[in-house]
Amino acid sequence: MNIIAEHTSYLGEFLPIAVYVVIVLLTGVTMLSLPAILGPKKKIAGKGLPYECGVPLLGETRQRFSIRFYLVAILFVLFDIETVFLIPWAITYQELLGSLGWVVVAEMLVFIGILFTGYVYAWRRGGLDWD
Amino acid sequence: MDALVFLISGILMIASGLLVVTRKNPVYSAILLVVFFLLTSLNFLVLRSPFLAVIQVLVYGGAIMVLFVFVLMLLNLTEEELDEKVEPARKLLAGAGSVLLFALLAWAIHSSERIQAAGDTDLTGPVNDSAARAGETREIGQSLFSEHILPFEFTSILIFIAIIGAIYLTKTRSANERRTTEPAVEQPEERA
Repeated sequence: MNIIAEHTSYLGEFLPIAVYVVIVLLTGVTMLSLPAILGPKKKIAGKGLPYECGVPLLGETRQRFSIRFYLVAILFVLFDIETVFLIPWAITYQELLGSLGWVVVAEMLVFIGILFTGYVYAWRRGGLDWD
Repeated sequence: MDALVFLISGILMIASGLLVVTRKNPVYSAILLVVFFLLTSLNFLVLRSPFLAVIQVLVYGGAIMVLFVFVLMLLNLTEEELDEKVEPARKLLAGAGSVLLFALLAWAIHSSERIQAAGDTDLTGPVNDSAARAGETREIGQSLFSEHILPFEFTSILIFIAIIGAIYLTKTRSANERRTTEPAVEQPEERA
């Protein structure tokens, strides 16, 4: 890896990821294209229908979803962003502990504390309940 | 190689961005937006910001996209509604607004002292300059938890407000009140 990084640019360090992306794309394309080339093509009436675990269709494909799903999604995004801040904190924790002392822990405790209040509020108001 | 990657991804970004706003079917727009986010992530890598690149995929490609898809499912527009003609005046207004926002952003970036200073950094050379390493996770953590501790703590308050707002908007009345005043929202069928 070092040899590659020395001879190419900074992006060369991410070559494994690029290889990974290419393999993933190739896998998907192969899985989709092979049946199209090799598979038999018989047109049966039921084939064009949406698949619903083998049972006859219930209603239409397009359905309005309850707003409750959206609340779950929003709460997920918000706590997702919280975790984003935990990553740089965890990585620099050792260094910062040396320069700032226990303030580092306090900083994160205040951050999580405020968000925990939000979590408790969401809990108490029934934001985590389905009914 | 950096310049080449930037050029290719830049062209693809503009193309996918244009496709996002011109597609009639919002589901195609959403998929193209994912492509756009991934290319943005690649651009962050070119700019030596691996942390932002990963966050771009996790938060934008993952979480924000979920919200977009949910809005599409909540609105659930039919084909007729999608075919509805938009007034030319409205299109023009939206276009002008976008151009104005773009100009504002470009001006803000152009006049930023920090960015002008960073412009002198050679990003194609080996990584040893402190400015070239500024985008790395360790450096971000260092400055975030020592210099910029106040904005960091305010972020938690911002997220806190967003939690309260989300709960307030969707849970304005208790479940008991809703049951007596209006029929429950139709649930998608449980599938095995």
